Amino acid sequence: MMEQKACDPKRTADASARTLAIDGALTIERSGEFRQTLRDALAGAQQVVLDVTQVQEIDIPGLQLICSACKTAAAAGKVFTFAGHLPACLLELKDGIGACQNSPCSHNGNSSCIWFGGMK
Amino acid sequence: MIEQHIVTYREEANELLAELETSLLELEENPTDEELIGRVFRAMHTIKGSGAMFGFDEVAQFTHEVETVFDLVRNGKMTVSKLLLNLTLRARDHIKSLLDASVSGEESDRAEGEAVIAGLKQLVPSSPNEPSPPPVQSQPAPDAEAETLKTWRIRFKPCPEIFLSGTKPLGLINELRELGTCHVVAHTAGVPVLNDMNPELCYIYWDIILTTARGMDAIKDVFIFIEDDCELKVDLIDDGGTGDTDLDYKKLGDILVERGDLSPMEIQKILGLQKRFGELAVAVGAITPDKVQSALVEQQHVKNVRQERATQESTSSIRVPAEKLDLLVNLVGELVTVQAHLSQTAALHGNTDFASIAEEVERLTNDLRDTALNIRMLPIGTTFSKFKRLVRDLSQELGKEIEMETEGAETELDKTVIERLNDPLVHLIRNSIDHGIEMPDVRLAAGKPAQGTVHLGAMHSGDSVLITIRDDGAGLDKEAIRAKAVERGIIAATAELSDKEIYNLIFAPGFSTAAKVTNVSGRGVGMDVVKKAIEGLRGSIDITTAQGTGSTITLKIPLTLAIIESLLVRIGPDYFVMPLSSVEECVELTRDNIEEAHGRHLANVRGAIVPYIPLRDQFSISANRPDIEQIVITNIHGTKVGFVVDSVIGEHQTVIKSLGRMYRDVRGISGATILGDGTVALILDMGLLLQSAEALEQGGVSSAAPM
Repeated sequence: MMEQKACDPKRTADASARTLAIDGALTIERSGEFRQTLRDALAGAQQVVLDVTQVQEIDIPGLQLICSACKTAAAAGKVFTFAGHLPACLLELKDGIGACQNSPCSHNGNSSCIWFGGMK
Repeated sequence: MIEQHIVTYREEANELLAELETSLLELEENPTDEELIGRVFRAMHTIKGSGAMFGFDEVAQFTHEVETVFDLVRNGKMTVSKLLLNLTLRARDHIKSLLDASVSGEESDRAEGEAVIAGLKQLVPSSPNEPSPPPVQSQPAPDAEAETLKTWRIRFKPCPEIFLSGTKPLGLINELRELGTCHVVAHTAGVPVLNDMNPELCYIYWDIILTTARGMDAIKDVFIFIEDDCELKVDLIDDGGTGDTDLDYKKLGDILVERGDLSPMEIQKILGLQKRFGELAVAVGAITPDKVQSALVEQQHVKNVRQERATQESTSSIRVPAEKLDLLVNLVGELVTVQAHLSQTAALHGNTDFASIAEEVERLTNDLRDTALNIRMLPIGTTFSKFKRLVRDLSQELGKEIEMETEGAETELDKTVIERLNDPLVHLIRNSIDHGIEMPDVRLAAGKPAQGTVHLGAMHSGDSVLITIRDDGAGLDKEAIRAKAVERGIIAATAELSDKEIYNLIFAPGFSTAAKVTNVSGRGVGMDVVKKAIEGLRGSIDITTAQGTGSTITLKIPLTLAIIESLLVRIGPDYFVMPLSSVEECVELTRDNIEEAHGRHLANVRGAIVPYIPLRDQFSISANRPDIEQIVITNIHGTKVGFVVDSVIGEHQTVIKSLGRMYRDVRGISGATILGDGTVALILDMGLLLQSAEALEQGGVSSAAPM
């Protein structure tokens, strides 16, 4: 398997980070709204911490958005990370569709993905 | 028919449980070994899966809970801990008791099951809101396994609008998982940055490697409703045939070219750089890492499938009930007898044609006999693994650190012998752990490593197998044994005993030097039972020990109980056989010899005095005593003893028949055999004959009794 690199220091947020808390269902019905929230958050801060611990439901569009936000942040040299642990529904979806954490992401200098697929 | 399946399931489950136990114990030594974790998981998965199929709902349910925890371990979300292993071993015992309960119809101990589950649940790492995910990887139903398992590569690229039609790709992927073993890799490389993204479109596509017994149609059926809304490419990458015996799968580069992710030209260019291909391909920017990753997954998947197939093929076997084998061996035994009769008759007639046929039959019968006996041979390793568990549990109970080593697990022994060896070995190992190995602090004080070792070994030696139980503990305390034996009245306080004789005292009934009776041993019922059991197998037991450095107990066990090489002798009109393994030589005994010894049963064999037992008197055979008798000198536990018979007929291949219940109290006779002409000959149990002769001598001329 690919060699996995140590945690990129750019990806740990400090006290100045902006926390974005999402709860409930992160699904296609809310995807437009979620995209806008993420865009606003990333535009307004150097570091964004996404808190999805209270998310009860997530689908592939929701997952795609997180992935996309991560790439957006990487392109702009910003930090995008998560608070606490990933909720069960996200882990389940991640396993279900075969996207695994720690796989390398070309958008992030081939370092391993902290979210899921990382095959961006 | 269902009954039949249930019986088979039970047998299989028991085998799986044994494997589970071995794997768990190995896992204790290598807690990070992923292959072992996988093996544990698979064993439980199979027990669960087929359990549910055959209506063992309780087994299936319970196993599912345990499996869930191991699924976390397998996915790296939990580490293997001592506590987890303890619980899993308990879980294994519980599954076994559930299975046993289903046979006996008794209620199983529900509380134990719940306790194990509760303990396991506590181990699951924090995230209490994380429900135990049902195992996503499903295996093909057992009946499908008989068919050829083929491996397919599926590239599934849904059209971007797939979500709008309400189709859920996850559902389709899960349907594929139901078809067989499945590895799924999602490609998220296509996901754009937020600004360029339409959040309702699908940017992900999948590579799925599926091993299934179902065909292409079954795979295509999964996608039947969205056929027009996706790009679907299904390729056969491993046809399950035996032609491809090579365990290695294609090179990474070849996979990528086949998938159309790289052109052969590009491969050539990259190969020119001569480094690790995957990294290089990414480094030169020819390909994104996800594609490499996905190809690597395919490589690994097919490798695994082929490996599994290779092991399956090499261990292909059929299940035969033990009774059928016993019947076969019995029949072969009778055939050997008839063949002996045939050879005898042929020799009598002097007809060369007849003689050559008889010889042919003899050759075939011998081959058949060897083959039939071989079928019943099992490697002793199955028993060994049970003891690993015993050592582990006992040492924990006693607070000792003990490692168990095994050697020669592949040594084969007759099935019945292995079964009957189990109890004696348990006793001996317990003794080693309880009396042999010292507590860690005592060991350190004696300059030994804190961890003691119990070594269990097996090896062939002629027509027997030597089984050794060696520990590096305290060894036997000669003085303590002697003192105890005197106290118990087993020997006189003044008795002069050799070291070996002293050590042998521990096999006396009711003998134990343990200061206190523990749960493990020390009740003094162990060693004499061991000795009896080993003698019952026509084996012998031997101890060597050095105080402070440990002891070794060696069991010598005959390979099979069915047929032995023996010496055929005659007393008056009756025939007897003696196991040839203990016979040393035969000498003549004349009237003059007897007179010279003044009525004592002692013979002078080349200057050495050998006591003998006149079997004629022992068995009260009244026919006329010949002028010249024969002494068959045997070696019984290191003691030379002669048995006097009228004449020695010669070597004989003896098919052992048991005497039946009516004669079970007869001492000195261990069985019977049928000779070529149909006469019955009794098989002598020389050890017991010696004992009863000793008992007779006790009051009389004591010097004649060896020891």
